Amino acid sequence: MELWIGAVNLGFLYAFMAIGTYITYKLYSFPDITIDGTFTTGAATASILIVNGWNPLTVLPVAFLVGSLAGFITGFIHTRFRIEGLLAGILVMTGLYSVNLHIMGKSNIPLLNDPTFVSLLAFYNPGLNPEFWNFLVLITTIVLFWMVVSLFLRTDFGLTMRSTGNNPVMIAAQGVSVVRNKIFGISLANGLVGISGALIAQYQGFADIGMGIGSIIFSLASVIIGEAILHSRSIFIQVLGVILGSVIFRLAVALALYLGMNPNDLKILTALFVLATLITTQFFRKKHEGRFTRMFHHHARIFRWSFLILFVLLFVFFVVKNRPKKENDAHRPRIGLLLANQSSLMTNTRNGFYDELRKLDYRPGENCEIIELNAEGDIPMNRTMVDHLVSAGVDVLVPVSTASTQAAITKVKEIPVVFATVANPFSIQAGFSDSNHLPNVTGVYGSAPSYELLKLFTMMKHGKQKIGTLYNPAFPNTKVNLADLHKALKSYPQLELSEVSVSGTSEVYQAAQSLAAKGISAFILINDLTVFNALESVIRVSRAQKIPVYSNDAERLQDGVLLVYGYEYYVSGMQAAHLVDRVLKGENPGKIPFERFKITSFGINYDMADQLGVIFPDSIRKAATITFIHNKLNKQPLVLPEDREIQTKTH
Amino acid sequence: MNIQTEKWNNFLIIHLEGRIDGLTSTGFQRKVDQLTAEGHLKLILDFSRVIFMSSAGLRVIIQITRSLRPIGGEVILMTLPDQVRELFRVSGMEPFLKVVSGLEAIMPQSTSGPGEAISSRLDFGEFAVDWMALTGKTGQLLLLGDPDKLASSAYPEGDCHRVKPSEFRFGAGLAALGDDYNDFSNLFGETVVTDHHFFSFPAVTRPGVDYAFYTAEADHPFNFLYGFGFPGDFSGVFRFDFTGESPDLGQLLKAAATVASSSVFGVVMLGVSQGLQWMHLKKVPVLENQPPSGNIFAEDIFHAWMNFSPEREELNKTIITTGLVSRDPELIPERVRSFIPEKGGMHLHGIVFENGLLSRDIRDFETELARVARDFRAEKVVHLLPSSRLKSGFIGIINLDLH
Amino acid sequence: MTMIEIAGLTKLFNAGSLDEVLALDDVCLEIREHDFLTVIGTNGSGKSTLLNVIAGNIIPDKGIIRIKGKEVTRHPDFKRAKYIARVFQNPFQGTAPDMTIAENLLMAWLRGKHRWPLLSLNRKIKSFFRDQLASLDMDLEKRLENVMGTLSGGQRQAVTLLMAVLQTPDVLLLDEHTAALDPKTAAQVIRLTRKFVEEHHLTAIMVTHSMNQALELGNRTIMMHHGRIIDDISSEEKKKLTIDDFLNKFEDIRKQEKLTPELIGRLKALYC
Repeated sequence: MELWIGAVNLGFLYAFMAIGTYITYKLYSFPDITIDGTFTTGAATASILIVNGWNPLTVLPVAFLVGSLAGFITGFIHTRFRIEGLLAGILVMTGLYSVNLHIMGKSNIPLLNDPTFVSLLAFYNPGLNPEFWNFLVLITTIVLFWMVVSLFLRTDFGLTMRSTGNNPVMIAAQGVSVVRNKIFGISLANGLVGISGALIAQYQGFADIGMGIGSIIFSLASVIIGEAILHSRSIFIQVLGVILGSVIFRLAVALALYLGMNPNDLKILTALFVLATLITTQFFRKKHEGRFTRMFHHHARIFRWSFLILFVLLFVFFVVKNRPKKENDAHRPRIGLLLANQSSLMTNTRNGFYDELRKLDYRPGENCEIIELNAEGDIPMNRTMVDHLVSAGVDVLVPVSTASTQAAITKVKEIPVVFATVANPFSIQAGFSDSNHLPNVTGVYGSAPSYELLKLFTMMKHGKQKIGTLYNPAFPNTKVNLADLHKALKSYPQLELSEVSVSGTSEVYQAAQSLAAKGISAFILINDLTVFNALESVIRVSRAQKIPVYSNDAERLQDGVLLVYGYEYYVSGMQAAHLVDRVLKGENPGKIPFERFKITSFGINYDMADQLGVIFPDSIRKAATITFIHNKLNKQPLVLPEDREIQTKTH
Repeated sequence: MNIQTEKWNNFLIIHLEGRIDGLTSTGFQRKVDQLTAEGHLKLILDFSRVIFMSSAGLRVIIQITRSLRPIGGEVILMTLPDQVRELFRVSGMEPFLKVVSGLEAIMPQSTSGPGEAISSRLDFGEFAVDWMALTGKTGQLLLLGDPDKLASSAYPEGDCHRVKPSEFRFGAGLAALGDDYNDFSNLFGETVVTDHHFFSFPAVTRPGVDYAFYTAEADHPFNFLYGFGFPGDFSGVFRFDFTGESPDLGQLLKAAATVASSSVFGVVMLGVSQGLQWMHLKKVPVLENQPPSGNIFAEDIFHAWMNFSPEREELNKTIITTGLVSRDPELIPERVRSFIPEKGGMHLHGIVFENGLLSRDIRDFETELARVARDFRAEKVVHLLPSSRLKSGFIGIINLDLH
Repeated sequence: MTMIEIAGLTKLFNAGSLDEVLALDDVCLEIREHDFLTVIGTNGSGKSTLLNVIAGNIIPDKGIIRIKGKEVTRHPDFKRAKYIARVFQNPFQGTAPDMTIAENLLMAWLRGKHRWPLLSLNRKIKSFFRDQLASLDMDLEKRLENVMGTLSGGQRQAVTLLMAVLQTPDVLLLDEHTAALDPKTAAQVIRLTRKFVEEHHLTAIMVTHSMNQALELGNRTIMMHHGRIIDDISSEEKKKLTIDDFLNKFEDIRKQEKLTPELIGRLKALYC
C-alpha cells in the first residue's frame, strides 16, 4: 500500500511542476525545456540551504525565486532576442547544469540527518502511518494550491496572461506588453518547478545533479493526461486535471515498476505517449474530413472516458493479480537487490554476490528468492524501486552503488540494508564510523588506494615527474577518490599533478590529449565512471604519445592499461553476500561494522610494456597477482581471506 | 436545347430543338448574337422540333427581330408548334412576326451577297476591302482657327469661331455649344460633326458627351477654337470585314489614299472597334488656363492636361470618325499643314458609341451613319491615333478642294 | 484640436534587397479631433503601413508621430494602447478565441490600465457587458459565457468593434475590418462602425479597399499610392464625388507612371 500512497504523494509534489508546464505549454504554447534544469536548481538551492541550517519551509520561497530567475532568463532570451522557444530553453537548461553544480558544490547532497518537511510532518504526526499522514497534509496543501492557482488565473492579471497566450496581437492592442507578460509567465512557471524540485529533494532525502532529466516530458505527460480525463473550459477543472494527471502519471510509473517493467522502456513509453497525444491534438484541431475521424471527434468524450476506465481497470487487475503472496513464502528468505545502472561495476558486484551466495548454499528460486531491480541510471527511480522492494516484502535490501544506497537508507528504517560498491558511506550519512552507523544498515565500502598506485609509479619512474589525471566532478565517488589522490600526493613531493575535468565521455579524448601536451610521464587514473566508460580514448593517446596509463581500476588491465592497482567489485559482491548471510541468520546489522574491500588486485600488462618500451622491475613482476601477456589474462581465483583460512584449515 | 444551323440560299436556317425557357434562352440568345456578329442577318428559325417555349424565349425572338430589322436583316419563324403559336398570339406579338409553315413559302432573293453586283474587291496585299465608286464632286475644305495655339493653351476669346451647322456636313475640331463665351469657355473639347450633327466631349473633370442634332429650323451655331469641315459628297465607299487581327487605321487609310485624288482628303468612317488608341484634353486650352511654362506638353503637367490610352482600349464599340488624311506629307498645302499632326499624316476625331449591330450592305453606309448618330448612346469623343483598329465597317472618301 | 500629427514619415522595407519597397515616402498628415478619416489606395500603396506605424506595430525609419501633442514615434504598440483602439482585418486577430466573450470584453475594459490580480469579472460588470452587447443587436447578450471561437466572423468583428470603444479611445484604427466578411455581415459591421463613431464622437482612421465605404463613411478621405498621399478630400468635396472619380484618379496615376518624355513627345506629334 505504501508504494501507491507514496506514488500519490510524489504526484502531488510533482504537481507544482506540472502546473508550471501547464502555464507555459497550455497558456503560451511554449514547451519550456528549461524546467529540466530548474527542477534541479530548486532542489539544489533548497538542499544547500537546509544543510546550512535553514528551515525546510522557508527554503521554498527561495527555490521559487531561483527557479523564476532561470525562467526569466529563458523568457528574456526568447522574447528579446527572438530565439526559438525550445532553443532558448535548451540553452538555459545546459547553462543551469553548471550553475547547479556550483550551487551544490558536489553532485549530490544528502539530507538524511537534516530537517526536511517530511521530518517536520513526522514531528506533528498524531500517530498515523507516516506515508498516510504525509498524504493527508499534502492533499490539503494541494487543494489550497489548486484554489489559489485557479483563482489567480481568473483575476484580471491571470486573464491577461491567458489572453496573451491565446492571441498576442489582441492583447498587445489592449495595451499589454506581450514580451513582459510572457517573461512573467515563464518565470512564474519555473518558480513553481523550483518549488517542486525543492519538495522532491526533501521528500527523497537528497538532491542530485541528474534528478531533473526528463522533467519536461514527464510534466507534459501529466498535463496531457489531465486534459484527457477532465476536458473542460473551466479553469478550475483544467488545473484540477493537471494535478490529477501528475498523480496518475506517478501511479502509472509505480504500476509499471510493480509489474517489473524495465525503467528504460518506461521512458520511451512516456515519450511515445506524449508524442501520440500531441499528434492527436493536432489531428483534432484540424477537423479533418472522413468518417472515422468525424466519429472519433464526435465521441471524443466517450473515448476519453473509456480510456480512463480501461486504465483504472487494468490498474486494479494488475494490482490484485500481482499482490505479493507473503504468507506462502514466509519460510524462504527474500533478498532485494537494487542496481543503479548497467555498468560493469554493477554487474561484477552482482556476479560476485550471486556466486558467493551459492557457495553459502543459497539457491535462488529454491531455498531463497532474489528480486533484482535496475534503476537504469535514473537517480529518482531508485526511490520508487526501494518502495517497490519494500512492498514486495524483502527480508534484506542490497543496494549496489552510492545512489541506490542513498535511496535505500533514506526510505527504509525497519528492514536491514546491506550495501555494496559504495566509495564512502559516511558522505551519504550512513554512519559516522565503521562501527557507529545506522541501526539497520551495514555494507561493504572502500575507494581505490591512490597511495599504493603512486608508490608503484615511483618504483617504475624515479625522480621528479609530471603526472596527469582526468575525472568527471559530477560523480560523488569521484570527489572522494580525488581527495584521496591529493592526500597521497603529499607523500610524494617529487610528483607534480596536472588535472583536467570532463563532463562527458565525448570530452575524454581531448582532455587526455591536453594532458599529454603538458608533458606528463603517466596518466594516473582514479576511479571515475565517465573515464571508465571512455578509457579507450585515454589508451589511444597513451599508445600514440607513449605515455603509460596507471589505473585504480582493476578490471581494465587487458584494455591497454600498463598497471592496475585496486579493487575488483566482484569482491564487494562476495563480501556483501557474507553480510547478507549473517543478517539472515539473525545478526543485528547495527552491530555489524562496515567492511572495507578485503582483496586488492595488482596487475601488469606485458604486451603494453613492450609497446611503450617499458620494463617492469623484478619486485613488481613478483608482486603482480594478474598479468596480461600475449593477449591472455592470467589471474588467480578470488578467494576471501576467511575462506582461505577455512581452506587452509581443511588442507 | 440543341441548335443546328444550315445555309439556305441567302438565309441561315437555325434548327431549334427541345425547350426554350428561362434556363436555355440565354444560350439561345448568345448563339444568335454570335451568328449575327458573323454577318448572318437573314435568319429562319425552325421550330419543328421545339417542344415548349416560355416567354423568356419570346423575349429573345423579339429582341433579335428588333435588332436585325433596321440593318437589312430578317427573321422568319417556321413550323411553329401550337403551344408556341398560342404564346405569340396571347402576347400580341403575332402581327410583328413573319411566320411561315415551310421553306416553300419563302421567296428566295437573289443569291448574290450584299453589294456584290455594285462593288468590286480591292486587294492591298495584307488585306482586301470592297469598293463602291460614287460620283461625289470635290468639296470645299473649310478651315477654322489655328491649331498651333493649342500646345501653348493660347486661345483668347477672340479666337472663337462661330459656325452654322448647315455650313458643312462632316468635320472635327475643338468646339463647344452655347451662346455666351463665358458660359462655354470651359466646355471646349474634342468634337465631331457628322451629318451636321454635333458631338463634343468637354475637357472637364467629369466629361459627358454633349451633342446637338441638326434641324434646319434651329440652326444653332457651333463655337470652334479650331476645326475643319467639308461637304458630304463621297467619291466612293470602302467596306471591310476582317477576321483575325485587323490592319490599323494608318494602314487602312493609306489604302484609302490610293483611291483619293486630292492630296489631303476627307474621311468619314463607321465601324466596330478592335482596340482604340486615343487622346483627349482634360483642360480647355484657352488663355486663362495657360500654364506658366506655356507648354501643355511639359513633362510635369502633361498628365493634368491630357488623357490618353496607354494601350489599345475599347473593344466592339461602334465608332463614327471624321477627319483629314494626307496622301503624302510633302504635298500638304501650307494653309492645311497645321491641321495635320506632324506624325501619322491624319487628324481623326471619333465618337465612341455603345456596341450594336451594323448593316453589312455597302449601300447602307449613309443610312447607317445617320441611324447610329441618332439611336446609339455616345460615350466619348476622342482624338484617334493611327494605331487604332476597326474590325469591320465603312470608310467614305471625300476629295477636297484645299484652297 | 489636433489629435494626430504625422510629419516626414518614411519606411523602407527590405532595404538593399531586390524587393525593396518604399512603403511610406515622406508622409505628412494632420488629423483633427473628431475627424473620421477613410484611407483608400492601391495594393501596396502603404495605407496599411501607415496604420501600423500609427498603432506602433511598425517603427518608421524617419519622421515623427504625435498623438495629442505627445511624441510616440518610437513607442511600441502596447504603450500607445491607452490612446488607440484597433480593429483588424482578420476577425481572428481581434479577439482571444479560447476565452469567453465576457473575458475578452474585460481585457478591452482594462485597455491601457494596469492589470492587478483582482477578480474584476463580477456580476456587476457582466451586466454592464450584457447591456453593451445588446447594442450590437446580434443576440450576443445571452452568450456572455460562450467562448469567442464559437462566434461567426461577423459576430467576432462586431465584438472587436465593441471592445475597441468600451473604453472610449482617443483614436480608433480600423484596418480593412470588413474585408474578410460577406457583404451582408460587412454592411452590419459598417453600420455599427458608423453608430459607434457617432455616439462616442470618436477620432477614427479607417483603411478600406472599398471605394463605396471610403465615400460613404467619414468626413475626410485620403488616397494613397506608392507610399504617398496623392489626394486629401474634404467632407464638402466628398459629397460631389462618385466612385468613378476614385477609379479615374487611380487610372490617372497608373497612366502618369507610364509617361516618359519620349512618350509625351510621340503623343504630342500625333496630336498636333
